[in-house]
This record gives sequence, structure tokens and C-alpha cells, in this order.
Amino acid sequence: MDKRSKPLILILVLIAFISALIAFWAVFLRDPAPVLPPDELPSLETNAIPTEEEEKMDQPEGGGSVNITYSDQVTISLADQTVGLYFSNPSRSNQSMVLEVIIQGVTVAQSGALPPGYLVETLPLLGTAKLSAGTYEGKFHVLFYDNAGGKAILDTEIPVTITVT
Amino acid sequence: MKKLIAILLSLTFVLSVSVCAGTIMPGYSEQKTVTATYRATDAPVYSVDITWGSMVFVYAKKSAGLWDPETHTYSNAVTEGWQYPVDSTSGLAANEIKITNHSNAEIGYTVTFAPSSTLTRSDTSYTLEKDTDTIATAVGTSIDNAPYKIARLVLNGETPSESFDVGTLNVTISTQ
Repeated sequence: MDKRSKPLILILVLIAFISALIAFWAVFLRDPAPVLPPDELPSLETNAIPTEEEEKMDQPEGGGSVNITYSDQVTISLADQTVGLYFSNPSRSNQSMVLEVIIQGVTVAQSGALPPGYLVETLPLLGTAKLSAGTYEGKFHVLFYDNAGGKAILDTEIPVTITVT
Repeated sequence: MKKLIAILLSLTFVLSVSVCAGTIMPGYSEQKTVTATYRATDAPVYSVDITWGSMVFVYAKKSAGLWDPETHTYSNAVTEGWQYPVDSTSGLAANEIKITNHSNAEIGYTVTFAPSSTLTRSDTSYTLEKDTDTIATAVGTSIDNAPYKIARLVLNGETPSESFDVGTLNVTISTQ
């Protein structure tokens, strides 16, 4: 090894060491990126189930009118990586919805668009959720979107009991 | 020596790349096929209507009204302050949030308001009226006569500008 190549090799070793440290931090130490509610209406939720037709509610001009029908009991299967729930945006509503299931400030499931006339009974568990079996006090966070897909001035939260198995 | 260092560097690089490939990157969520199904029980069924006004308010300047030369009097005098136009279809004022309970159980609600930065920086204040309450079960009532409550966002003081965002509202529905 000549004297000129020695510093170069040392620099390369240092770069490789720093790369390995960054990789270790990314895997074991970094918090997963938070899942944020979408500002615009996403595409239709793949698990959405159509409901029966109903007469529309009266909607104030420039405002909104919705109905939400739900159970406050939620289950999570770690084996299947799914969230079991009942949440409906009946056809009498006038706004589309996006549902988030949140435990201790962490979003563990987020639906796609639920237009009026659709419900969900299952959602995929987000890969970022680190849960262990037990019962948790969580919440639904419901976002509303007008016909143009813009987020409404109002949103809703609903406390739920979540059983993880 | 050179060969040994080259081998070490190669190993470090390969390990770094393979470890990074298994990391969940920001904005990416792993999703799997859904198979579980929710089974309804005899637990309460919650069904709640939420209707909100336009939240577009009008600040009216004081006016004596229209002068009627026939009677030498004014009519339609305007008092200075915030006005909340009523929607003709729903009957709801622009500053109102109506919560209707169609559940077979009593519910509670809490309305909170996050003012916009324009409103926060101004001298205009706000109050929420009937922002938290309970609503009786719908059992024994008809659809058209379901129990409901109305909360109101009221502004106080002069308008900070001709047009501005008021803020955002949140309604928390709770079981009792």
C-alpha cells in the first residue's frame, strides 16, 4: 500500500461506517412517519360495501349534512393484519367521508373514500402500527369532503373500544 | 491488506443496502388482503346526524334604515354586529351545528373550535354556545322527531377584515 492511497482508503472506510450507522438508525431507532389525513378526497375504499338508497337529508347551502352509523366496538387481528369494525356513511348523507382508526395518537387504519351509500366492515392494519394484544381506548376520526372533493370545515371524533388479539 | 479492506467495504455496503430495503419508508403503508369480518352483537347501534351551517358570517354596519318620505320614518334599521343568515332549506343559521340522535342509547357531544390565524391575531373574540351536552336516546321517538341539540359559534367585536377564514370545528360524539 503506497502512502497516497492510505488517506483515500481511510475516507472510504469512514463513509462505509457512517452508512452502516444510518442504516441501523433507520431500522431500529427511527419512529415511523405519521399517517396524515388527506386534504383531498382519495379514491374509493377497496373494502367499501354499497348500502340501500335513502332520501337525502336537507343540506344548508355552503354547509353540510351527514349521518354516521357505527359500532363503538372495534377488533384488530394481528394474525390477519386487519381491523374489524362497523362504520357506515348512509346514502342520505351529503358528503363523502374518510375514516381513521387511532390508538394513542397513532393512526392504525385509514380508509379510502366512503361516498354516501357505502359502509366498511374491515380495513387493513397499517404496516406502521406496532401493537400487542389487549384492550385499548381509541377513537374514530371522521373527515368530511364536499362534492368537489375539498375537506369540510368540520370533522368528528368518536371514542371506541379496540380489542387487539 | 488492500484485498481485506476491499472485502470489508463490500460487506458493509451490501449489508447497508439490504437493511434499508426492509425499512418502511415515509408515506408508504403496507396493506394486505382483508379477510376478517365484523359480527354485530346486541351492543347499541349509534346513528348520528350532524348538520352544519355555511359558517359564512356577515358583519353589518349600523344603519338607520330606509327613509320613507310618505311617513317621514325609517324602516328596517340595522344594528351593528355579526349576523348569521338562516338557510331556507334546512332552517339552520350559518353559525349553527345541529346534532341529532337516532341511536338506541343516549349520546354526548362536545364541539370545539380552532380559530384561524387571522381571527387569533384580531380583536374579534368568539364563544361557543351549548358546546357540550347530552342527547336522549331515540327509542320511543319517530324519525322526524328524533332528539337533537344545536350548538352555535358566536363572534364578538368588529370584523378583522372584509373577508377571512373563521377556523375549523370538531364534534366529538361520546357514549354515556
